[in-house]
Amino acid sequence: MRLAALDTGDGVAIDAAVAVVGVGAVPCDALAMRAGLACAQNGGVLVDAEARTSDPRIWAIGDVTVRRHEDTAIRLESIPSAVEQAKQAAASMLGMRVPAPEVPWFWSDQPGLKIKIAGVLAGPYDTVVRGDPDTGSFSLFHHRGPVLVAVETANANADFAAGKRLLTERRAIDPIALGDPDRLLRDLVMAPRAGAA
Amino acid sequence: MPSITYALPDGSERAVDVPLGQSVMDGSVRNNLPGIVAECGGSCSCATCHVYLDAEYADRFDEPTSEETDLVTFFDGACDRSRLACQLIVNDRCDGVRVVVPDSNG
Repeated sequence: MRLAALDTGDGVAIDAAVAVVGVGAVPCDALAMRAGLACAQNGGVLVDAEARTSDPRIWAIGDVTVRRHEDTAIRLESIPSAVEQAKQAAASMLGMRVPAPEVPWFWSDQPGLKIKIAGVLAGPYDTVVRGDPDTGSFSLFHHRGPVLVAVETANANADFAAGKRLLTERRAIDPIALGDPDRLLRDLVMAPRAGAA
Repeated sequence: MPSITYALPDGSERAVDVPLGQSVMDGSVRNNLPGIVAECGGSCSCATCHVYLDAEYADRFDEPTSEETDLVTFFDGACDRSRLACQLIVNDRCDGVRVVVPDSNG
């Protein structure tokens, strides 16, 4: 059976070949609320870059937390985020130096499809496609001018690894080159920086 | 059961018996050794199980897939001995193998 259209509850039929179901999750922050911790209006326990809540004696990590990412407050539902916060909380509790923030990233292994994303899409951006979507292996490099914002990849591990490295280093890039299959990402990403010794 | 030696980030070494069919990553995680984070549980996704495999042991394991090589290429400190420990499946030729665990797995 193939999807032909979606019938909505109010009687409208929408032509569609593919449906993506996003179930989402509701943060279970009732315990934090009862403890008097600051929570986001739309749910989630507010924490800082050390995974501390509004009570400095209480830390929180994982999908339930809301934290700063660049100019926004977001809730990241991902294993890498929870592991990063575990390192923050442990360092904070022990009075050690808290690690530098990591680039948020996500993966999903579906049958025959390895989806990997780095960065968070927000604000205006342009997109460069690398590879051919019809082959099942391709990437979308989202950028704002010469600054990479996020990379979304399907069965393209090298593109993901290169994009994540570019995001970590916040290095200016030539978006046209990223979309050029004749340019090796290895050369674009691992080349010495312009002006560097 | 093959014994695998892990040279850990703090300079110490630990030898661990790893059952056939498990990965070098499993041997580390199941024995709570530091340095191999293995966020993704061994699906060649997260790249937090980077190890250096000495050249003399390279032929004890299957060659890396392009999926693995593509990830490893972009690591800090990657070299021709770099492997992902989740892709090193222990077999009956692996007794005595030694891997070096870097300090950079996050």
